[in-house]
Amino acid sequence: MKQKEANFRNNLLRSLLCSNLVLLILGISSITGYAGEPTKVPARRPNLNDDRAVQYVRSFDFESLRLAVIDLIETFGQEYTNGGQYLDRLDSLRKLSKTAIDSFGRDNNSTKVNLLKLADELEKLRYDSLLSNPLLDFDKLLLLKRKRGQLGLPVNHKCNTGIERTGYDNEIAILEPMRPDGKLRTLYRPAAGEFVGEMDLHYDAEKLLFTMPKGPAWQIFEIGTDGSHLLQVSCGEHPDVDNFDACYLPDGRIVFASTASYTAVPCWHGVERACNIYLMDADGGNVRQLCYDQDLDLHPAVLPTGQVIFSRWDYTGPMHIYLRPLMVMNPDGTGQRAVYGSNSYWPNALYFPRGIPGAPGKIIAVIAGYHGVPRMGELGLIDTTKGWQNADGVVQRIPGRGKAVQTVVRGGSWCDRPKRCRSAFRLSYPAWQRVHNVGFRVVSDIANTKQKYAASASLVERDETLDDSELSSYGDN
Amino acid sequence: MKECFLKRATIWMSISIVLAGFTYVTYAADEYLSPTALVAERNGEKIYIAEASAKQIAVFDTKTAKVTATIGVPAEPTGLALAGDGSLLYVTCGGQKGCVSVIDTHNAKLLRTLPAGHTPAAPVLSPDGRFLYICNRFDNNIWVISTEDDKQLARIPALREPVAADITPDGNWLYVGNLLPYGSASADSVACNISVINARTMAFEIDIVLLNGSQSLNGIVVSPDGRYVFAAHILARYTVPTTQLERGWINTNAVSIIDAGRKRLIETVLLDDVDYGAANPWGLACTSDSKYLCVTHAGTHELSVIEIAALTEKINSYNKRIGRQPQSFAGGSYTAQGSGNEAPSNIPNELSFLYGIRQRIKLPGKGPRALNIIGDKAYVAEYFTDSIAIVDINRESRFKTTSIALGPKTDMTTRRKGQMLFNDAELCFQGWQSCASCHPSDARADALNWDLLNDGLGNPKNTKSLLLAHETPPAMITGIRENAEAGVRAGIRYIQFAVRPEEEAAAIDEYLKSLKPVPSPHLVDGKLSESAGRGQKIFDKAGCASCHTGPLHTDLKTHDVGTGKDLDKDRRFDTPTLVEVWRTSPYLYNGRATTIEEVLTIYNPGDKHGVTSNLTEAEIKDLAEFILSQ
Repeated sequence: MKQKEANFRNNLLRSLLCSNLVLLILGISSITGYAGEPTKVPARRPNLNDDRAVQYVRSFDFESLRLAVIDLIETFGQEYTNGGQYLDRLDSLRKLSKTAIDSFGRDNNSTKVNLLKLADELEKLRYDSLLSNPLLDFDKLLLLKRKRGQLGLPVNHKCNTGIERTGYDNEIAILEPMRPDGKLRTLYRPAAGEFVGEMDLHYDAEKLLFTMPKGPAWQIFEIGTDGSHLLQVSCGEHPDVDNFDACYLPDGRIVFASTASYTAVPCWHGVERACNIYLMDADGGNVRQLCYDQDLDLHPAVLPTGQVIFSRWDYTGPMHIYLRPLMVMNPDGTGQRAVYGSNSYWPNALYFPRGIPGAPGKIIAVIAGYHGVPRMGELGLIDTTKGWQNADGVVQRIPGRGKAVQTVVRGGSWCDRPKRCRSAFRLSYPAWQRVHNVGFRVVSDIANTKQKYAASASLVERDETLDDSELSSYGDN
Repeated sequence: MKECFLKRATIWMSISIVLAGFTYVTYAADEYLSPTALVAERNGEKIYIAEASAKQIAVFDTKTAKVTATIGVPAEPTGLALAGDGSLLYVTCGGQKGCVSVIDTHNAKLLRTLPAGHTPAAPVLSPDGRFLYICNRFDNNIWVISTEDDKQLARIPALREPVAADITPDGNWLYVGNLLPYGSASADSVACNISVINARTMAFEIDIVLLNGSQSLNGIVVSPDGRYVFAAHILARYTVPTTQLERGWINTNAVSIIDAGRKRLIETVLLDDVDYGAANPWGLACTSDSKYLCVTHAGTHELSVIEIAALTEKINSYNKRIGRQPQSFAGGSYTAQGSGNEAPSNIPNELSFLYGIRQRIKLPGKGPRALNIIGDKAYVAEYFTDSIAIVDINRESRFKTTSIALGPKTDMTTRRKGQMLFNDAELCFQGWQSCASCHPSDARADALNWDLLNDGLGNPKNTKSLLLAHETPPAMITGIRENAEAGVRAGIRYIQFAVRPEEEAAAIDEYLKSLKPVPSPHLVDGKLSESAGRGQKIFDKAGCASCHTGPLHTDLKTHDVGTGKDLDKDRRFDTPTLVEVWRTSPYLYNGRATTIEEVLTIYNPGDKHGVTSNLTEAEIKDLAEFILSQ
């Protein structure tokens, strides 16, 4: 039972780590700023000046916090202590905030002081109530700390081969206890500014895998969570093969991404290397290719069922179907199947997928665009029980409480005739550069556009012959 | 998002169990309750619980949530029926010499015991309380008993192993669920049926054929408004090889919906989700307002709560969209537009069809089977943990669930653990099935042909009963596994697609070794009938005994007796035991023979499987009778 709990905690930790990778990096850097030495995170936010305090209190999402606390009370009952008290505090702070904001502007010094105090108390309540979630019953949070501005994420058509190997101010660190005032200490800091990242914590939480360059190539390393036993796992016998993005399997072996297939992304004429998923023993031996795909296979992660989920880029260029669906396979590479986003225009890309423990069919992933953003977007909760394509199965954007998730397909290519307008992948190319896979996007739907047209006499005069499909191409270009 | 997804993490188990491993400690105690049936008083104050292993009825007070009394019965109780005024409780008990115990509920005393057939079950009282219907499982019939003078009024034939029954509120129709398919496993369609009995005339009316692959029909319920009959069963995908489990490739789990007025199948819907099976649906119950249907999942230890109106609406709108006209004649399914009884509708293949109209609730105990609903609370008997789960099925309550122990906690013996694991779909990848899915009712057989990969592809074999499997190596029809131990481990690995601790396989071995044969219904007072006595001599004369030798009737060797066809032509098959062969129809390696007579005649043209061509019709009958008496 103890073991099971530990495993659960690890898994949760893993989910948090990977799914929120980007958020974590940004979150930590924005709270603490970067410092080479272990830093104490301030007990709560922040040196608010008067104006920011107003803004903070005014934009504070009382309703979301109230719903979260109610959900925790209903889910955990007695286990979630102080639930009622948090609700009372929230209620009284909501009233006080309203009064304070209403009286602000009368240039009353005491109101300003009041608002600062309120902002402080709201922040404290938020941390207290949400961090008392009984599932967060672990003390240590493994995280990656990297200097702001050094993202270390490849753009969407590249794998690690396409990014800088060194020049980073980054380290693997542990926050303990997992509180804003917890102590941050370095677990591993590379000596010469090498990239570290793509961590995967072992089931027993005694070691982790991560990616770091070694010489001309990327390699997979392992280190104990006490900072000892640093070890290069991937053997690295070929200097032109990169190995990265590794994940432990329940049987001790490791799945990872590698450019050992010597393939490349077609539209880059072989310049940008493609990576596929491979399998190796715990000691780096018996390497075997599991996927044989044209483009990038990324982010292998073990689902609660024991299968491996990953993101696959299905580049079928001229059809304008640039998909990065989520795939699942057995750990030996058999039984590969799409679980989300195959043959649908949206989401364009799904990154960093993780299964939700105890909720079969539920996946959390970063929903991203096709171009322009390096594996960034919004966090989406997917329920494959509800649907497999478009927005059918995306049950929640995080954040985005109460907002319906809808598929929006708009825009097209510069080469397209207006009525063929479809999904949008706009880059900063000028309009005269007619490249088939570079397009534009419409930012308003047809009904709105019609209304706008109707409101503008001159436009109506000029375009009265347009039908709906043509209208759609007259949007933002 | 109303529900916080993190809370679900608390029930996450799969990988952790594999990693954690199990340490079994065996205690001598083998005294369990095994709650197997329950019935509630109309006023909801008391629930009577049949405890099979303890051979007793527990009286459960719903207000205090405590067992207030226990009443002993002569043999293992299998089913309960309570008179409308709550004064009398009818309990079906026992095996070959079954009985119905009548209990006075006021003073918790056994009043009298009525005779019944072989393994009686599923007692049902007519709404006016004048008639008691019981299913005699291994006699394949239904008895109608007058409650006024305890006299037997009629015997009505069912099809095969009737185990579940319910009556329409007007008292006109009795719906009886047959556990297993009857007939050749090589037929175009193989499925268990629902037998409809005219309760007024006490006569068989019609069989409603379920979809191809339907088996293990354990529960049936008529909605209180009398509009629908729901039946819970497995929908086996036996026509494809067992190469994968994902997305319902081997066993799916279903509810069939019958139009009670027209006595026809409306639709079969799957209880499984895309990435999570809902193995071994068992008991069914409706809320008194006919708003919700509840189904227990004995394999995944869950309760499904389904909105009935939304379900029928979903089916209707689907039919409207594809322009499908379901058949309207009695006994019909939606077969007219398909071939055989295959559905032209794709609903029976749609995993997660119930999305949005069904709630899956994880139960605290193991092996939920029977259930009863009082108001908006479901009471679920958890067979293996000797407990009762109380589920608030009111959505606002977030389906609050508690579990109450029915007696002192007893440590499980290895055998009991093995039995629990055998029925546990949490062993299996994504919870699609347990061992018991293909080997239902104490590890016997589902009467279907499965194309396992251990002997090549495209040559399905009829499921074998696991009774005496360990005593009669080698295992499997081709004898490809050295022994049953190897078979159990291969089953976990290649059929459940799971890596499990060795202790679990060893416990399953223990359980299987403990199985005892059920006496044949062909025996007369425990002895061979006259006909079977004559057959015994023919058994020797025809040379059957040269391979079917010894007390278990097997020489433990493989032979080619000329039965192999197609890819299995000239193949040698393991000599099966004949013990309990009365129960394991259909016969031969590919289940093409429905009866033993067929095995001895049309499927033995060259006299290679015993010299039977010179036997008279009467001699064949006697020989078959002897074989079926084992």
